[in-house]
Amino acid sequence: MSEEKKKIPIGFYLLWIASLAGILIISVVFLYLGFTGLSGSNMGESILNVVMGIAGLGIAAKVGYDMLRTRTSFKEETFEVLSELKCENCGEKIVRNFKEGDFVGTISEGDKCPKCQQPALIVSIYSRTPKGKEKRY
Amino acid sequence: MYSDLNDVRLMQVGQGDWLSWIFFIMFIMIMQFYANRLQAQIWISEISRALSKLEEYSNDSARKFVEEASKYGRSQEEVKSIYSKVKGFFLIEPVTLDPYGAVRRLEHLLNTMRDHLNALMRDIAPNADSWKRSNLRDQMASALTLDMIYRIIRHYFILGRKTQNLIYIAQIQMLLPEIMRIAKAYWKAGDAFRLGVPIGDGIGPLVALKLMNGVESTEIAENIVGAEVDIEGRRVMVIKAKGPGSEVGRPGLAIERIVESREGKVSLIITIDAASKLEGEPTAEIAEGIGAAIGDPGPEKYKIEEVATKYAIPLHAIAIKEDQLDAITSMSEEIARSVDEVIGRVRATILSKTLPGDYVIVAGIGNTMGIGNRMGVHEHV
Repeated sequence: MSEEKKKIPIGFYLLWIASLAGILIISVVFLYLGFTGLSGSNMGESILNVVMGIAGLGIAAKVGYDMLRTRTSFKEETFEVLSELKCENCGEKIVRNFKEGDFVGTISEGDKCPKCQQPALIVSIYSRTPKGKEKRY
Repeated sequence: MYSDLNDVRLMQVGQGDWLSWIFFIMFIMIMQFYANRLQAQIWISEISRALSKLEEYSNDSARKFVEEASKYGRSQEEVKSIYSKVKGFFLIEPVTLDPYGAVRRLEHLLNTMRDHLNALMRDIAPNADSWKRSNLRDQMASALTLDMIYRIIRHYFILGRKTQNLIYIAQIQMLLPEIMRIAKAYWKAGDAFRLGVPIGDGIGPLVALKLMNGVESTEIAENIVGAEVDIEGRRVMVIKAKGPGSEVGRPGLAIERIVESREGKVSLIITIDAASKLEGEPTAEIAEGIGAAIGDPGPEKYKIEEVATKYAIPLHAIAIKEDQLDAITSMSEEIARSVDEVIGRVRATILSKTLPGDYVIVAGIGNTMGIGNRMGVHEHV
């Protein structure tokens, strides 16, 4: 079943590229006709050609973008999990990376307060997403 | 003057450029016959990519679960074999054609399911302690959910392609961003369960733990612990799920037992839970209301409402707003930071609604993974 879902016919991509190329060619032709005609007597038709050429380029850009979007993979979000500790003696706060086995309420024997060297209590565990790394689908 | 009019006429009838007209007509014809087909193919391609990603999520979650579970007494092949048999696990909800006793029947089914999954985890990871086993159980649950999402999307995708039905394809394509968001949340939830990190749903138990402070807690009901503390002369029984494993316990049963043991002499019941925020609402916004703040399938909430109604005990609810997906993934900093404000609200509510000497129950509802039962413990569990 999983093989079936992956089968996107190659013809589909060829059709897509052909459509893109076709739209681009037509747009360029319209733009050429439009700009060369601007100096002539048929000003109205030339403007119409330029407008159609620009519209065609817009459509081509959209088709190309859609194709690229389907080809590029989803970006994953990066985040870090932190444990926040508090010295029971002097109240000093320590924030470090989460270690497996940490839980809120336990005294972490491995973490000593930098000021008074007393064991610290885990008061919070949370995740933080670095700025600018938020996930977009 | 005549020349200008002639130009306008030529432009209107289009005799000036026959090539433009041929292109235009060709374009319209192509679009007329193939636009829908082209659109469908673009959507199918997008769904196919998403489906590959869903398969990756599902396989990755299953692989991580097998790797983690195999550290506790069974080989990877054995765990994989058991996991493949569990795939597609389901719960059939009780019939509600006759609603009488539906909650009781649902409770029985949920208890049976919990017992079944716990027994399965004892089989998969015989050497794991109860803390790790419950984390593994919920890690497996997230992998199973991803597998189910993948199967459902694959079903509609194949159906859409077979029938070339644009409605099937369009429906999935339009829901795709939300489906992927949910799938990614479950994928990340698997990591949280593997490591034992508190999740967003754990804000209720976290508040309860901070309220309990250093007071020793005792088990009141299945996987529910409680400790009595003094707040401005009021006796406050604070309850939460038994941590630090992934448990929600049975808070309804615990509240029912406490109230019945005091023959209804309880002045106030406060429930604290994470609640779904609406888009646009800030994360960790605190809201208060009336009722039982608990998101269980029904039986626990029913017990709280039933016993509160029986003895006319006011029910006060405090909700911490968060995205539905924040609730199942590691707790964000802003949610964790809201604890002190919630405690302030709980104190204010107790002071304004009760008198010194009154008995109050405060229940921190939610999953207590990564959250202990008392502040300042040295031991592992």
